[in-house]
Amino acid sequence: MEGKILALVPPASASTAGEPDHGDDEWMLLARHGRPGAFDALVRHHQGRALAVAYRYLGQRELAKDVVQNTFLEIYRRLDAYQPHGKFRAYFHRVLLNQCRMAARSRTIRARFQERLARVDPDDPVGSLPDEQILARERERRVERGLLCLSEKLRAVVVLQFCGDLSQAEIAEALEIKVGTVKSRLSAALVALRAELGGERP
Amino acid sequence: MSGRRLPTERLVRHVLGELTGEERDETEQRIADSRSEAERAAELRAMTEVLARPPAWVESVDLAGEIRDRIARGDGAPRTVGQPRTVRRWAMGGAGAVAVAAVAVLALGHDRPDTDGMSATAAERAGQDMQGVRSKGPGARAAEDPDRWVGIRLARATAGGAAVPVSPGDRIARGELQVSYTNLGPRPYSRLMVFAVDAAGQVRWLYPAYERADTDPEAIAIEPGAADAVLPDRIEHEFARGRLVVCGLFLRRPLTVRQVEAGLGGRQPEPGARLGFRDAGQHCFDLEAE
Repeated sequence: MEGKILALVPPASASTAGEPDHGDDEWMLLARHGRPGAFDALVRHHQGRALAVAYRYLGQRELAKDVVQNTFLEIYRRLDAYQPHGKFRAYFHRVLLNQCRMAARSRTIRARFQERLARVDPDDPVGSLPDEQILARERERRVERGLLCLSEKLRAVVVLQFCGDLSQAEIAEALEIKVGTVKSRLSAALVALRAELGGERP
Repeated sequence: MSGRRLPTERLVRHVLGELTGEERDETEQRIADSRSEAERAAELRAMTEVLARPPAWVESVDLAGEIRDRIARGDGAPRTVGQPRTVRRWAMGGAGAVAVAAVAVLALGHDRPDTDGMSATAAERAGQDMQGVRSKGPGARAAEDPDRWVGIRLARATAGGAAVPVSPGDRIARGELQVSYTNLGPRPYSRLMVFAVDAAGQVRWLYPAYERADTDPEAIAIEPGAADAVLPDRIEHEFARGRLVVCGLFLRRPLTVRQVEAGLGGRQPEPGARLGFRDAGQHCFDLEAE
């Protein structure tokens, strides 16, 4: 803490993967003490990546928003228990993935999951886009569909690495597994995803 | 390896940057020599790029307001804080009242009128927006704000023994008080005084202990860099009914009880007012004594 000025508005370089993020710890402490705006700042700092993780994990936009909201509420409930050791990102994503898993376990959700594999997301019309963007979006959808076909363990590692921008050490911390296991799951996941895409260009 | 397709697993590890030494050199050579291997590697890279690109819609979403609303509706669960170690019966302040107050307050917010307000109930916390947040930067006001890194919390003991935080604005009844403090920042303070000024203008001292009128105790020593450090005593208190202003005064040099009382002039601090002690940080908030 010594010599460090608190940034409530996240600097552009904040949260570099693999580096302890003491800015998050400070936000958590200030939010714990009721500092106005501190929790908002934390939400705004992390919501983008969190939405990407939840969306890629679950495949549904509205559900992803709900899950991310629930994640922040859970973090808020645990403000007093949080230990500021510079590992907020791993902690946050552990809670986020738990929320994703709970959402995915619901029977209704599973049914929608299957639907999602089979159809175009109605929330995401592409009809008015230029051809290149349509193709890019179609590539994205194929990858999204492929992700949903992976096992939960493999999908979790992929979304944390690529969507959450976590380091492998942070992923290991978030999932409570060894870094070596992260590497092997990541490798297996990409091989499986490549196979799901049928050798076509993603 | 030459003449056979590179295993996908090898290509994946190559794209992830996990190959080293001979294995990496050989893979790069195969990719350079073979158009089909180069295409396979490019496909994998494109796949990881798609994965790393956030969905476009994410940028336009801001959940902060909805989360704030949900917290305000009570979605934030109550929290408890740690147990105090001893009980100190209390009977002083300007008027020697012995009492029992069941209070708990949690807040490191500040009592300035411009942006900070006196936050800390879940609802109040949630009701603040980003306008209450100050940005950093050399010369920014935030860096010079003497109150920025300090705060106190009060907690009341329940019948079951747990200490439950009470938010600013809450009504307080009889019971035992527990105090914790936070003293962070680039220039943490070394001394602390915690007191309450009741509706009758009487100053009730929590720290330092002020139990005999013929004494003039000085501010207690505190730890720099402490977050949520619980002070050792439980304090029983009684306050005059009505508005109660609780203050934590963080100092670099010890003041005494009489010096502070003289500075307060027998009046309750107004919301947002500075107490006027030089080179001091403060955290004051209102409660309602029953």
